[in-house]
Amino acid sequence: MRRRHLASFRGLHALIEHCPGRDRTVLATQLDVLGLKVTALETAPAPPWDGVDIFFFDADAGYAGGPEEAPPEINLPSVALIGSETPGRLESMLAREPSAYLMKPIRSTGVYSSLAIALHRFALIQAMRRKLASAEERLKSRRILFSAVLQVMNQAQVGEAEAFRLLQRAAMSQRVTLEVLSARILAGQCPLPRVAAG
Amino acid sequence: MAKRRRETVHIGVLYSLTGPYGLVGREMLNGLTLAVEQVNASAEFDFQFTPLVFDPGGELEVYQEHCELLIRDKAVRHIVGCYTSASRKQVLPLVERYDRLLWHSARYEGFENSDNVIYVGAAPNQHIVPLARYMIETLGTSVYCVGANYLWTWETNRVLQEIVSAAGGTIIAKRLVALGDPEISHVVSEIIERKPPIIFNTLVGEASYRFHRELYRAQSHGAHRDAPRPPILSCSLCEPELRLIGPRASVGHITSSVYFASIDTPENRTFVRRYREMFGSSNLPSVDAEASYLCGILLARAIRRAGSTDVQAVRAAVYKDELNAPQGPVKIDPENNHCYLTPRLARSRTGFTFDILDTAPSAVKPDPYLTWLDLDDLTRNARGGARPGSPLRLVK
Repeated sequence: MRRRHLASFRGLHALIEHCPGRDRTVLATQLDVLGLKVTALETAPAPPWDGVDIFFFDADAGYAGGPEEAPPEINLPSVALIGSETPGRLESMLAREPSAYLMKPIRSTGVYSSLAIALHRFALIQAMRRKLASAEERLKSRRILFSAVLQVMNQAQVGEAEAFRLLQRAAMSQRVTLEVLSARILAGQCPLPRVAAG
Repeated sequence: MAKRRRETVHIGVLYSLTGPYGLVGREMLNGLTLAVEQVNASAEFDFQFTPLVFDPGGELEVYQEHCELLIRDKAVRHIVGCYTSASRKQVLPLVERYDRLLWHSARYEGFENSDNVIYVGAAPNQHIVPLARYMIETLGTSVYCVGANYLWTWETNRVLQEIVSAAGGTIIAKRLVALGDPEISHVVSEIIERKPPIIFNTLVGEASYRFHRELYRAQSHGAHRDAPRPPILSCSLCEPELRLIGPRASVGHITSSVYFASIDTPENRTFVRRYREMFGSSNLPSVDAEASYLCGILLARAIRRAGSTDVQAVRAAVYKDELNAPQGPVKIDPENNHCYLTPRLARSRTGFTFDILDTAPSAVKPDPYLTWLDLDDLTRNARGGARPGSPLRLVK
């Protein structure tokens, strides 16, 4: 994964969901100093938010409907602004899966680090999720691949390694993945690869 | 021979005497005033307190402004004040930055321990845990929760839910109303319809008084007149509030608290007598008044022991103190700056006072993070269990 260049966050759009007051003012001012475009709202509308790059939210406030309602999926780097450390508040904060946090009272110190950590962690988790999804997909198709290999072994009377090689070659010539070719074979949409004559 | 002039010690006072919880603010100021009068009238102290009273009116930003004024312009080292956790969180960064001491009298939901706060009010193991234990052992494990939509309700409901679930019970419903909104009829209608066996109330101020009155009225009419009334449980209902609810609707409710005016000890009888002399014979001190009184007395004794108002010296001195308070023996736990207190359970009765049902055998060590809460032990005698007994005996 390519790490975001840390030197500047200039031009990013930050959305702050927090009631007006000193904490929100200090945060907005510091983000402004760091070159971000800032939108501060008491209650943000439901996501998705076009053009928002990072979301700061008040972990002390219950989200709409009270603390036990499932939070809307944000799918953005986010920073929790924590005042109360009661378990109830922390659970509700964790349900929103923040990428970083800042303790209140907000000071200018720490805002830059929270940006760096949030963007890095979010990208890292996104990359891990993609990897996991792809690994799960491959795992699911292993059974299909194995069945296709067995069919080739029986039909062509060859061993497992040779059957696999035949499948690989056929997949390459058809410009599809091994898993796609195997699925097609099992669905009867594609003939079994054969041992070359001679 | 001329009497030696006593030094004046200014103490900051940050109580909201007006605004949504002004009644409690005035109660707390009464308690502190009693302590100040006692110190100033006593030859045991070679200083006199002069309180500098600021009223933030329940406005969070104003707490910060007033605290800053007290510290920077008035140069006070000690501030007695705050009631809600939100107000304490406003003041906390300032007392920490300037290294001052906040003497905090209100019970709260816990999960905090600052070196710059002396927490004299009850921690969660001293209020909600004994109440939950009493409930599951004596009343049942099926409970309807109604409260103001803010931190205190969320956290006490969470602790109750954890204990009730561990006892195999259920929270029938959690109804939250906006803080300061007195409209409560929909909750009353639902209770009449669903007939929960137990109600847990964390409403604040007028909403709570109206809830009691409207529920009583609804229960007293028509087909519901002969139905059993579910007990209403709370960690905050106190003597002055019973009067505001009214003579009939205020009877029969259960409160968990470390102080009731009806505690029958010489220390408390003296305290109640002095309170009535100062604030009127029809008034009884509440738990908040006793706690703010303790803040003043503990501070005065610590200054005397330290020989100075220096924050570090006073903090070290208060750790060594043990006081026979109106509620019984109290002392500050140096591990977490909270107070050893004696949990009690009581039922409100006619005449705006409480019958004490149970008292912990000794002052209980504060556990602000509920680190030592043992759910297995707590729920062993849940209703239907083998051996019911005193609900306060094993509170740690």
